Amino acid sequence: MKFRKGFWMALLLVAFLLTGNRLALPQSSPNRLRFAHTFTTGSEGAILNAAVAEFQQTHRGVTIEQIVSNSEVYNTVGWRLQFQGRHPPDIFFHWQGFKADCCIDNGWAMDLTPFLAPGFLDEFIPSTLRKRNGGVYFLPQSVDISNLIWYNRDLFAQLHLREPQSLEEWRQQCVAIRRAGILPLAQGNRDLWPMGNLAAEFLGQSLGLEASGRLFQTGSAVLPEQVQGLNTLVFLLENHCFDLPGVLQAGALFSLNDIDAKVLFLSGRSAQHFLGSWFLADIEDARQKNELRFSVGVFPVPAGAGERDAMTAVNTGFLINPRTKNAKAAVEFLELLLSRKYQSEFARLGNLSARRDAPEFTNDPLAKQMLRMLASTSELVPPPDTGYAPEQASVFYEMAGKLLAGKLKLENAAAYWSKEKANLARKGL
Amino acid sequence: MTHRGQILFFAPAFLLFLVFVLIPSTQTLIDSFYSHHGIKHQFVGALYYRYAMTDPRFHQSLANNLIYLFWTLWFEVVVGLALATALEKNTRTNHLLRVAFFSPAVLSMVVVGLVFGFLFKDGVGVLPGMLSEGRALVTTSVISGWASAGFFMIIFLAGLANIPEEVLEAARLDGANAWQTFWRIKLPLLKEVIYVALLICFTGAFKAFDLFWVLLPNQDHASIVSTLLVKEVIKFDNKGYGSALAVILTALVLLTVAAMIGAKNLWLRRERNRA
Repeated sequence: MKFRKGFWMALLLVAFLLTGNRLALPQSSPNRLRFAHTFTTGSEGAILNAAVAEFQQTHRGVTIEQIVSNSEVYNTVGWRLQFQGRHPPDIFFHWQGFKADCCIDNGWAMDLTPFLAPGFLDEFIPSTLRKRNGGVYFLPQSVDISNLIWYNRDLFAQLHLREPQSLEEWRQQCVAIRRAGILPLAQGNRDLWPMGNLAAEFLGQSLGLEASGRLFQTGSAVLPEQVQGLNTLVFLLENHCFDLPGVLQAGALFSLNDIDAKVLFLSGRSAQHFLGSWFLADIEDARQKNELRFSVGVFPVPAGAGERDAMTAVNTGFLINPRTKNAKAAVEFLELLLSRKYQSEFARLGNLSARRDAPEFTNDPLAKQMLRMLASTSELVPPPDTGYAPEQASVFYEMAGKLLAGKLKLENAAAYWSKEKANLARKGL
Repeated sequence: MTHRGQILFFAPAFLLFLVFVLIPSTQTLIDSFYSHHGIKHQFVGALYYRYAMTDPRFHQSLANNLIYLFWTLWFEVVVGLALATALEKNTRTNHLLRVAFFSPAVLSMVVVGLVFGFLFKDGVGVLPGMLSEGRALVTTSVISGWASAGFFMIIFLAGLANIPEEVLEAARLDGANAWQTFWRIKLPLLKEVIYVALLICFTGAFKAFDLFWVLLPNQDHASIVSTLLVKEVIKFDNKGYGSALAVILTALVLLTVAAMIGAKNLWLRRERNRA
């Protein structure tokens, strides 16, 4: 009996010794760099893999392990949870703004200045580089414009419409499109950020970067005149610009997500679609698959009379963890990835590179147009979910959602927003 | 069994309970008294509990939990009991129908949520408007009922199978019809099973999460306490308030269970006194 019991115990022990190592987490080492990012498409992955292969060839013995995350998961929880484990990444992707600053303030990112090759920073558009605590922590890869109006050129030509020069003109065009029996805008706001970002742009245009940014800070009260810029959302809703019998019923805005909405636009069921610069990659994809039956144009969200020419945009790029055991190699990998060679490849996928030589990377008229827009805009406003504290962004997105659902009147929006901010303050947020 | 043997049997289960329940629960309780900003923690005492008492979102979420509980009692327990009674006889058709009604219970609620979310999607779905503000909770309860009624049916079928045939035979000889047999014989004899089913349904209504998270994202009017607390932690990075809500939710579930055990004991005592 004793022998049998001992035998089973020994068997369990041997099994654990043989397989228990599989439970162990990978160890950090100078020869193994963990790279967390959100490049999920095959074409992005191919460019990244090529950069990794080239780096590994020139740095014998050093390997790059990629940790690929879904962008939404990374944006909500991944970006901070990855530092709560015992093996955080060495190199990680980020959106410049509140979250990248949080990483710096929490000691999750290091000053890269001592490791950077001389002149490397001069290769980037100066506005994409921001010093913090006197150091450079964030290396930019691309600029994402959050809100652009993509339109069906053929439909516009058919209705004798031009690219609008002012917000007022564009609003009237939307009404005219609706009267012609065409859905003016295919939008999906199930996740609140698509229309929330647009609302932030209207706010930025009416108030400017600093004044609109102050509204997202803890505790500050909001005055009714400060949210008047959101009247365009109400105008579009009241004129049924998001719904059309037989295409989309009223209220569908909150049932569809951003992907549903872009599919509707690409299938030709609406005249226009709000989305960021990353939509260019989808258009290119649809073109290559011969699924696009019309010509696509793009223009920025026009500013109203007397308003600022602000644009919502965010830089994306990379930071390096100060706990890395090979900071030099990590920086050298980023220098390679952000070099002209690989960034021109990313530009072919529709990326707007943060490099000075970006205009040379593309012949696509839409990409060139977006680069011109970026160069000519007077103010860049961050999208709330990357620019400000998540709870402040969330309250704003919910307010914009309520305006678009007709559950909140514009005259009550400031009071609602102030009340929600006061509630956050009571929770210590 | 020797004392050492008892410890050997007890230890693995206790170790798992310690690691996966006791330590995280204690940590949640501790977290609920701290504000968390990045890596900085600050003791705030009962701030989050006081806030919860006046938080309209928490009140609405709790009310939604209770409404959901009310509807799931009907769609899960009552429908489950009706199905079990209807399919009690061991015929080939009944066996087939039992499998058919039970099969949704093996599906993940996330999958169920995604499928119904697509069916009910405004603009492109087959049945749009089912998740509108007025209908969202009832629709979710019906879906939950569709997925879980089969599970309750199996529990009741097991209970019905345990009713002695002689009792039913005696009732038939006394001239009881099917309705009288069900109401006067089967239902009283199923009371232990019904009690277990109610316990599962009550705790399930408070623990519900996945279906609401997938089916009704960003819809405050249809949030429940568990989705509210996850939103606080995930979206707002407010671990303190999220933990406080988790503690309140746990307390509510424990209180519900205690109340049900108390009610059962009271009822048993009355039965005994009557006898």
